[in-house]
Amino acid sequence: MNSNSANGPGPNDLRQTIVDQSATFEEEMNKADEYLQRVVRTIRAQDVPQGTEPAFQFRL
Amino acid sequence: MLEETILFSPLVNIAKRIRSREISPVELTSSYLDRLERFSPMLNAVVTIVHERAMEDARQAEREIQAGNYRGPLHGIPYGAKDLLATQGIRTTWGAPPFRDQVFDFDATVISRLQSAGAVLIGKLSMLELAGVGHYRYASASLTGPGLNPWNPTTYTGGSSSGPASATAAGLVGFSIGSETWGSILTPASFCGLSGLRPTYGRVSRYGAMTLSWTMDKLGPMCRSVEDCLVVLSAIAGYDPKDPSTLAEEFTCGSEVEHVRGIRIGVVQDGFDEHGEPEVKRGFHEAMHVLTQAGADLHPVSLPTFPYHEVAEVIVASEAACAFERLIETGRIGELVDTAQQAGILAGTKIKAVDYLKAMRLRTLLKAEFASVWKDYDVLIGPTSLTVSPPIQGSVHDLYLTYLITAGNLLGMPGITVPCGFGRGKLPIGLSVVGPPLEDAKIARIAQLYQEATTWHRLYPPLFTNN
Repeated sequence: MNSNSANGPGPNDLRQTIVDQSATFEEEMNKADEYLQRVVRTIRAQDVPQGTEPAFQFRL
Repeated sequence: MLEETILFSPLVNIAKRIRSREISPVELTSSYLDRLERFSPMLNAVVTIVHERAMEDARQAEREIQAGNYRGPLHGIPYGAKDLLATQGIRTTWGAPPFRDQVFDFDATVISRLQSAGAVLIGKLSMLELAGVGHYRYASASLTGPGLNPWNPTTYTGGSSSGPASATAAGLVGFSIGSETWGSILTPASFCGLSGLRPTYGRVSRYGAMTLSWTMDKLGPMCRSVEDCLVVLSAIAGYDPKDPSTLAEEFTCGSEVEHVRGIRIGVVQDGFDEHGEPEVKRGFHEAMHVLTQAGADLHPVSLPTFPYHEVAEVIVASEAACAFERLIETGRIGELVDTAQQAGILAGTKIKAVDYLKAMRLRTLLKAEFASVWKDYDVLIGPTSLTVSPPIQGSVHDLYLTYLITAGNLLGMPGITVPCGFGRGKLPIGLSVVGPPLEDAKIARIAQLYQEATTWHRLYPPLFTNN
């Protein structure tokens, strides 16, 4: 969608939307999914030694 | 109206003149409001100007000071807040169309603390929608349009604290409050020639701030000098029972560092050769020369080998998908300006718990590795960005984010950027100083000593000054 919803005061050419309309939502979704899958593969490839339990813990 | 030279001058100087009643908080507030109203449309810097409340607060400050009840260096100083901080009765849009009419019935702790210090809120400042969490592709991913850089409005302010950066750099506010999850104070401050401080995680309460990532969000000052940052941080730091992540340790802006002589500085230059613009390289080398001449002990250092960006990505994307669950469920995520943002946030819902937990374990591993770094170095420095601000029209996906910014945010380490010259197109370059957790005062002091030896922070965007 475009950003003609911009609501700041005053005219300014550069306030107009600058969004590539050629990419559909499905295309963006595919790109985002592929990107995160690559990221996750990197995470899974790491070795994690003992003693690295998450910093957040349940507290009474 | 007060002269520009006053409006751009350091907060401590303005404060002295307010205290001595040379400057009236009412006149000061009127002057900044006038600039904010005249110039912010040229920059897309503001969501809401808080005119009436500001003038009432200014009049109250004036009455108190005249009665001899001076509260401190922020008393009567006008400021702007990124529009992700809740303000009672004033809309808080989070920069995003789905929240354009959102109004809270309470003030964020940072707003309350600044109110107690006597500061005057004059504007809710622009930001990328939802602080750009879904990997926006364009600078225009905001309710108020693209953040335009006061040094050249055909270029980007950087994000996501775009309004705080442009409004402060153009002298439309005395100072501003931004937020950083993954570069959102340091990057726009650097692009706009400001001093911006990302405090230690937990140093500043986030109560009443939009949540993007519980384990990485921070709030901090964006100012025209390091000294100003310290004044503001002193007012907003401290334990808050409303935010369990806040630290018990008190913040004092004094540091035992009197000079940089003997300070062990690790120089981080990841991506420098491949992505650094020649002018940025030159500016950074000149900054290193200034520190070396002052007696600092500089050594090149390689950060621990680590999947910095991947770990940060999994953590932020997972936490954001949870934080914005309601937006996703209602389908209102479709109202976001930038399609890449919508897709990025939705993709975060598909990350498995096991991957999030592994990223958190890797984060713990990195913390241990950095403990070794801090045995050898007092602080780390690097260029805040390897390029100056990009043209407003292009995709921002190609901008290189340094490991120093990512590591600093992953580990909750304090960081500060200060202007250190100009690059392509006479656009500002930034120098970052990062230290171990809780060493906010030390990194600020080292950055301040750099500023005492240079004048970059005293140069202001020509389009917004008569000088």
